[in-house]
Amino acid sequence: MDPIVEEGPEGYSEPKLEEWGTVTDLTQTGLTHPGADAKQGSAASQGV
Amino acid sequence: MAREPVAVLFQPEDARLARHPEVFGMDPASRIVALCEAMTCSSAWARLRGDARLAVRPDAGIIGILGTVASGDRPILDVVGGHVAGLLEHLHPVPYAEAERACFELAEIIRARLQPDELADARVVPIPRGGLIVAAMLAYALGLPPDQVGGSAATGGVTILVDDCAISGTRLRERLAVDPHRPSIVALLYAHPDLCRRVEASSAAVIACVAARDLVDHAIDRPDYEAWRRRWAERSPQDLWTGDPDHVVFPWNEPDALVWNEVSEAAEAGWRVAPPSWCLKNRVAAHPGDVQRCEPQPGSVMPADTTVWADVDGMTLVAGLGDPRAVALRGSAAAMWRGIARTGSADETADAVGRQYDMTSERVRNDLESFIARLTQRGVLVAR
Repeated sequence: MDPIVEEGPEGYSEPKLEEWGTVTDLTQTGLTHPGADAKQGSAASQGV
Repeated sequence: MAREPVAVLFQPEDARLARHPEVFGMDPASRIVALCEAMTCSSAWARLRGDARLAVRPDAGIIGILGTVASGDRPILDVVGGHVAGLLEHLHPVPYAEAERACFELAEIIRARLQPDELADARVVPIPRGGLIVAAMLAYALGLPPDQVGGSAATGGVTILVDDCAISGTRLRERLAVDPHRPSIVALLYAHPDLCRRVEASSAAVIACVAARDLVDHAIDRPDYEAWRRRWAERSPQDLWTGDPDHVVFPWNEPDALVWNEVSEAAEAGWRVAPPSWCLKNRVAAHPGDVQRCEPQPGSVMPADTTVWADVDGMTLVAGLGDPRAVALRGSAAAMWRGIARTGSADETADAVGRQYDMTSERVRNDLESFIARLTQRGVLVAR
């Protein structure tokens, strides 16, 4: 099993929860508006 | 350009994946992972992947995109749920055997259009890259020798311009413009009949534009069809046809699907849904290491069924469908999360984190209990 702490063992400190971004749930979009503002067709090559 | 933190979650309908077991596999957990691997092949993901990860919860069918994105890329991310659902709804995989059958039918259509002496003087010219594969099969089906395949026409004979599919017709128009007076038959495996008629009308040199299989336009089912069609016709004035047909995917090619980016005000290649195991083009574009599987060990404390997480830029980002805000965990917090996910046990996590930081388990345990309580309150952990 991989080590639980993968970075070097720097000094221990009390665990903190930092607020990150808003959670956006797009499930309903997929259910009610499959397709979005999209269409099939060629795009300029982006090298992928 | 400014960057912003993101935590986008969605649950694709497994029923859409289950329609294609030959593409996505037989069980729901494998199917959702295959879809994630397909998404990493996308042009959209190529732009997002630097500071974002795809997290997948196979047991719950949840996909999360966690990290930061440039503000200009946010629209590409915000359409992912609807775009992927739309592609899956109309997904039409074409296996090699079916492509071969279609090539032989295409050969019969061409024979009906050309006299034997015209066919003997014709040249099959592929549009790279998918057209090369089809052109080879078509040449066999027509019984044409190698010197009638590829290159440019040296004589006055007919060019049979070949591609696997044509949707908007943009590339066909560009290719026909290279030799505008050359008598040509445009031969496609898949196309909408209206596109074929418009290709024929676009140049007097086009004898015919034929397809082995007709595509159906699903855009007409949209409640906003007229507005949608006008909008996209204005955005892509070079297109010969505007529609939204089946998402035809070949074992060698998944065609582009465009999404509108209102920040850049441009149509950009969006998401892909054909797994690299099924599609050659996607096999070389895939970034399977970008997919982080969230597979918690069952136990007395574990991530909730609706929670995903990913290691990004030295942090562990955690997001749950029931929590309005994602959280970023660093250092000891990240270690505690990973311990819980991997062991399902507060005791084992406290021991492991204590060993790692050279701390007593008792000191770690007090912090861990508070950590678990706060995350349980947010709904991203469950403790029994």
